[in-house]
Amino acid sequence: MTYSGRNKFEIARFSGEDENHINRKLPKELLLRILSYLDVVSLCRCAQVSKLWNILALDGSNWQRIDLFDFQRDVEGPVIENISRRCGGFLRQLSLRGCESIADGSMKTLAQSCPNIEDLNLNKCKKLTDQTCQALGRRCNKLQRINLDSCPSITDISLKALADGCPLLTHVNVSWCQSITDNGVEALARGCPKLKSFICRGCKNVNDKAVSSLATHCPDLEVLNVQGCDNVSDESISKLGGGMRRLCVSGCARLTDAALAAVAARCPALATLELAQCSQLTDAGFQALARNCRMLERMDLEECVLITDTTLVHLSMGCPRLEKLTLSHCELITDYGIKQLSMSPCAAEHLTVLGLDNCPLVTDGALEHLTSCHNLQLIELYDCQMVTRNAIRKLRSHLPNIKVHAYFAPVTPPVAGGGARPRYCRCCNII
Amino acid sequence: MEEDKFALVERIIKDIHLVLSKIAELRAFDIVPVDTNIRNKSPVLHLENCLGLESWCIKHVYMYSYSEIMDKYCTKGRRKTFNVSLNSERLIKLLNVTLLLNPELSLFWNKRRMLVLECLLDKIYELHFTRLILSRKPKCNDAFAYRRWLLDIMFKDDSLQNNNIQDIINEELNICTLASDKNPNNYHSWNHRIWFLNKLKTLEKQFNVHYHYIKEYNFSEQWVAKNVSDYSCFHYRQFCIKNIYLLNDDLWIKFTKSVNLDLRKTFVRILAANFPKDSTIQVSEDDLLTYSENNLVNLLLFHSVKKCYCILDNVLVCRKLETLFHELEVNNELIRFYKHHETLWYHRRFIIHEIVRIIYDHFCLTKSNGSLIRNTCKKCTYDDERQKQAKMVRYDSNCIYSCVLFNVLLTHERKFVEEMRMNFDNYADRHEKYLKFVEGFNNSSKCL
Repeated sequence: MTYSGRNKFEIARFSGEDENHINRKLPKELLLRILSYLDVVSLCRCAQVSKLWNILALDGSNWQRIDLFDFQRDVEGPVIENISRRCGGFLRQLSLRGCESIADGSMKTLAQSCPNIEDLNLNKCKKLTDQTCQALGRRCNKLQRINLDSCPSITDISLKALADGCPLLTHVNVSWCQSITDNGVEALARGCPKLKSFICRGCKNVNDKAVSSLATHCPDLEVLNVQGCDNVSDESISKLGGGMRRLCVSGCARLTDAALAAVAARCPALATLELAQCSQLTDAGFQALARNCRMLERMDLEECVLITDTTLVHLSMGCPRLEKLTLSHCELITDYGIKQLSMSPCAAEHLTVLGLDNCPLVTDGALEHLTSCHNLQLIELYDCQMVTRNAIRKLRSHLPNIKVHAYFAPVTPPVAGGGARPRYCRCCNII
Repeated sequence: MEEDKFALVERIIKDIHLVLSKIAELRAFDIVPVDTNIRNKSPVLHLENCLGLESWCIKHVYMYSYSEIMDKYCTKGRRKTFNVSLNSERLIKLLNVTLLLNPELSLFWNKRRMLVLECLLDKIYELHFTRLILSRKPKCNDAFAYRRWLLDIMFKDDSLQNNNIQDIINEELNICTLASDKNPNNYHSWNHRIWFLNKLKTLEKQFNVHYHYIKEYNFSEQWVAKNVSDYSCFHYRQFCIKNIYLLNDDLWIKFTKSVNLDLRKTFVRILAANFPKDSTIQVSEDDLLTYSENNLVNLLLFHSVKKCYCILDNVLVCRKLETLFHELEVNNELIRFYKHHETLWYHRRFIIHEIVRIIYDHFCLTKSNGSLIRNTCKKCTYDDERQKQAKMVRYDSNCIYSCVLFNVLLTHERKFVEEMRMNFDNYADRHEKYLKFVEGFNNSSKCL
């Protein structure tokens, strides 16, 4: 077993003194094994039992995967330094999500003591700067996943340091790091050819060059999220390779049908496609998409204002696995399109979530068609002003577990039991 | 069903939040009475810079957001060092909604104060937000108190630019005017206005607050003429009159120009009309106009019993009298025009009281417990009689009751009360009683 060597002497010392049954019967290795199944809180409790257990519970081997999200308010610099000293090379996975008081200093200590870390989540650690990533790049060459979501001080320098030092990186999330530009992304793409997932929501400076280099240098790329990067256009999206599973280009308003056609031709395995606010897309693009991407499961078409029922016809014929479809603000959609959808192979088994809010032409008729979608769990109908309360009631009677989101006032159940309460005081026996 | 309700409320909160993101343009918020919604339509209405919320959803939205704040953000438990910044955006969203619906929640306003201190809320945003609150509830004291707190902080900040201050002043006075307009007898808005002017006085670095005194004086004159039953605005008017005393010579000239009236003429006309008949000096209106301030005051308050040799500022006394007699004249007209308004009569009491106080000051007297006491001179520390502080003997107080100004005032009030009594205004009798028992006007009844 794997307790660290420096404690061997102490273990021998304390176990000699210990008279407890469990400690005499069980070998240390088994105790350690048992402890390794415990969570953070239980481990800390065990550490207070005795000197022997303290050593065993705080052994680095038990601390390979740590998530401190529940303690985010309390975690400060010294905590991280202690953890990195205890765990040393054992630490594989650490989540410091929301630990806002963490600064570069403690992360440098971590990088030095724990060179084997593979998965690091630093979401919302707002104080961190490029120095953290430089330290990681120098020491932690085995890093595979890093999440820097909402760390506003992170710049291209970080990405370059990671690209130089961590060639094994597969998952990178730099959402809302607004200083990131195409230079950093290109360096990352060149340095980390194994990249599978790259997420940079809200990075306004990420452009065609960045996405193109990802497409060229990272053949394994499966997930790309460039939501809100409005400089991205058809040119780079058309280069994406066949491994793509999830693509989110919401808010990239420059995209046209050409991009859809290219994606359709090159990425047949696409399962998730988010196209919200891509208002130039039309039925023609979706026709091409539906013909080739038969694995599509989730689609977000919010505010694709030009699409009509024809798109729904194509989708219902071409995408039998469709689970989740959002058509918010697609104002040309009518009952006919919904009818086609409900008759499609996907409807009966897979379709679970359907977003129809702000589709003014949808009426009660659409809900009647949807009664055949047995798996439907959630339907959004906000501001569909032609839909009435009666139709919703009817839909509920067919699909008893469905959640319907609409602007109708909730019916307050009649006050029951209020009057039944005895009118005398229970504690005194006068009456 | 329960989950659907929560989803609906979340959606409504989101809709409100979207509208509130353009808060700088929003002018008004109100609840639109719609008992049942037949159509599947958003209850959040946004039209021409106004935000409306249909009433059917209020109950659900309020209960939901209120209980979430209370449960999640107001717990006083084991963890006292609760870090709000953790989920401040959510908290702000909920606070916005809850306070819009019910602004009388001091606890939630304090939460906002906390957020402002942690720089999680923008002060300008907060000013806009309170304005929106006041558009619906113009009597909300919590909102006014919060504004005062914000402005206090903002004025302490040295980086505040001069033109920014000007904007703030205009905005603040504007809001007070709107709030007063929406709700008569709005004590809070007038009180806030007084606080604001006093606050400006303490600043007084880059601008002269006295211009605002003149402006506010004229503004309040128009306002009280339109709102004769609003005692709160009359209180503000009295504050403005007292501020006029503080003007220096240049500003006094500016002030007299701005009122479009010859104050001296009004004053002299009242004097001439009510001059005591047995007086040895007989004067006409034209004669009095030629008098200098000093002479005029000497004529009206000829007898000074001062023991020290400080020079009295007769010019200031004269200006005060001019202002007050102008006010008296305005009050006459208002009472004649709007009959049976108690507020107007109370305002009259204030005017009389102020004039009588000027007379007392002139003779170095104060009133305490209903009896006159000799006071020390305010300017020098002359106090040879301080030890005695005895009640004034009749002889001494005669100097008051025999001075011309006192008799002019007495005659004027007698005439006016008589006139009003003919008009069956019950308050006239009460006014006479007030004069008799509070201001001591009966002591000299033998003079008439």
